[in-house]
Amino acid sequence: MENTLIRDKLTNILKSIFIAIKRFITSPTLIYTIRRILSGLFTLTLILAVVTALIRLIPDIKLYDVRLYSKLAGTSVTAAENYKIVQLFKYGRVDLDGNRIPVIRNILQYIYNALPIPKSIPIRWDTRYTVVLKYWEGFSYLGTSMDTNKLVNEMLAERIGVSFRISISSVFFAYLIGYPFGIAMAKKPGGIIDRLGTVFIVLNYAIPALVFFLLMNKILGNPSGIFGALNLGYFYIAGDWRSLIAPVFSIVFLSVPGIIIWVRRFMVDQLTSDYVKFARSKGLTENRIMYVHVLRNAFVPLIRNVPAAFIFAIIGSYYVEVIWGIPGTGNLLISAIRATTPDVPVIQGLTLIYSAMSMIAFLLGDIVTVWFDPRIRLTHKGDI
Amino acid sequence: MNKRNWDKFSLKNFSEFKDVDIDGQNSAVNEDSLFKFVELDEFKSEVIKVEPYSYWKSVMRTFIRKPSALIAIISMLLLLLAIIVIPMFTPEGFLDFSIADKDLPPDSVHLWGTDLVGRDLFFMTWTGARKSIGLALITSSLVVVIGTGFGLIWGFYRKLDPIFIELYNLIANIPALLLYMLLSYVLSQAFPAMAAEVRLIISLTIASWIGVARFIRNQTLIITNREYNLASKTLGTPPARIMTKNLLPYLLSVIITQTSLIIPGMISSEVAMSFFGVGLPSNAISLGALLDLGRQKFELYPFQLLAPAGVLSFIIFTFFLFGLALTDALDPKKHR
Repeated sequence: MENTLIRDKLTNILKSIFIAIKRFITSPTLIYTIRRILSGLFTLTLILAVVTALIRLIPDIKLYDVRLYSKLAGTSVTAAENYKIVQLFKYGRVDLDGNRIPVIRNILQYIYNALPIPKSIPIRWDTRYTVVLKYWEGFSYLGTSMDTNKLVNEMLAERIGVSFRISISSVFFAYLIGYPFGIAMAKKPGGIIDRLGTVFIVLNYAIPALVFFLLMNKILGNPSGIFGALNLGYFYIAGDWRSLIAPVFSIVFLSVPGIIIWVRRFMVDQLTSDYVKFARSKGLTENRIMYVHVLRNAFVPLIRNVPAAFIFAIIGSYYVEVIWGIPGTGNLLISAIRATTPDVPVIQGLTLIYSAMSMIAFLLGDIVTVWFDPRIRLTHKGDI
Repeated sequence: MNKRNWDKFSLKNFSEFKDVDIDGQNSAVNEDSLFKFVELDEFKSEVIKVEPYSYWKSVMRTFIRKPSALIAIISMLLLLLAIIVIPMFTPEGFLDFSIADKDLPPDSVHLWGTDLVGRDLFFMTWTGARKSIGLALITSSLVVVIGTGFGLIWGFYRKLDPIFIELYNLIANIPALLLYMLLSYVLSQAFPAMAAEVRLIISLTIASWIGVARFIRNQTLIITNREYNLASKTLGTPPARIMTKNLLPYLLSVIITQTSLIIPGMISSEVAMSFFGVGLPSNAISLGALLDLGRQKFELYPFQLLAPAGVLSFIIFTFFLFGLALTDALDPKKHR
């Protein structure tokens, strides 16, 4: 008797689990997510292909030291040729016999290397490039920097931490400030807070970002200036969070208006909607309507916009990293592009990382929206 | 009837009433004389006294009436005057390196002082500003023309959607500044003979047109199924004609709004690229290069940074304010 009871219970549990799994698998969100990931991977492949092809536009002559080549050619032509071939080989232009490698193979090779599958890739040869001395073992191989001879994976891993910290904290503070401000403005459209806020927004938009960052660096960092007592410093010091205050503040200051405008517009729209009218006719106080009814609805679109803010912060971090001398990814990119011989693997790796991050951020924004608001159905067509 | 007419009318009546004897003794007065027949003029009644609504006239009126727009117009005129006139009167040798004149404070000869290689900052900044604004105007018009063209095609032919969306994803998912830099860098290496300005224009255009195209596409999608377009389609109007005669005039105000807001962004991008050393060459006269030079000795000579920074802020502010005022004026809802 008891056995059958337990068996019944078990089958019930199993059934419900099965139903849950079935619902999960057939849920439109999951299907949408998978499709988005697949199409995102396709786009990422395209981006890599385009960037690789673009870099192939750089003529061969820029990739090796012509003076060294002619100097070597003075003593022996083969030595000079060998030098040239080795240099071009590093950039994937020719193979070790001197035959040209087509662009498409470059692209495929890069994508194969970047795919997260276990592989071993030769990274170090002897001086005559006949014997491979060292293989790289791992999953995604993004190449070796031409400048520092370090693995791009390691360089990125070293540098992305601080960039990420800056972006995350600036997005956090921007929302922390912008959100209440937007609500306060929406509460009384045309009121004094609203007007002051509008002036702030217009002035803020009118300030060129670069000028603002430069001035903030000089004003906040000046040890004998107004903010000298805070001891923020002109430059970033590793491990000292105080030196991040000035750059994060600058990014926050510039990204707050976007949030304010958006929150305000949304709130004002909502305040004329039917459910607010109904709540008002029920006799609820304005504050209760604002903070309980409207705010709950405003939360979903808020989350949807976080990725965009995050991307803005990442882009803003180029300026900040160069001006405050922060060893992040933005700084790495600028130095890779400004180098005399192009640091192609670093540029490619950063493009990959940046594009993947922005795609993931936008996808996460959409998924979280659905998660918080089940009324929203995601479809793949038509909305970009 | 406005107030003045009414006054006349009542006065006239009053003088007529003076003749009227209240006691009725002088009853010879003809009651008919108190009334005057208004003749029906067929022609006059057809004339509409109210000025017919004209969109562009209303735009002008709203634009001029706003105080912020007036400030924008005045500062825009000042700016244009400054960038045209000031570089023309540059004294000989003021834009050349000279060690003797370096790091001078502002005085009567060098109005804003000199930079750390001895060039006059006043003339340097305004010459740089002219270059930046010129480049931004060229780039913005290119971006708008290309973007609008492709946007119309994108919105009109729905079958092209997958291609354009993929293209959009491709361009939009690479952070803008990275894309500018990459394009500018590759172009500089692949075509060393190309002028830096051309390179800058090409890379900014390639990276930005898709944003405008997407915007126009969304606008086109909204209006493309309106009755008048449907009628044109049914009547067999060729697509090119629908696009240019039906859609484009309708979108013109939005396009102008977009353009006015793109220009300051383009100036900022150009300056940022020159600042990072991937735009104009560092020995060229540009605001970005000046900013980079100026920040090196800011503590000692703050003017070296403040001069280009101030001018750049003024430029962006003017263009931004102008764009805002234009956006307001172009919105038909605000025409009253």
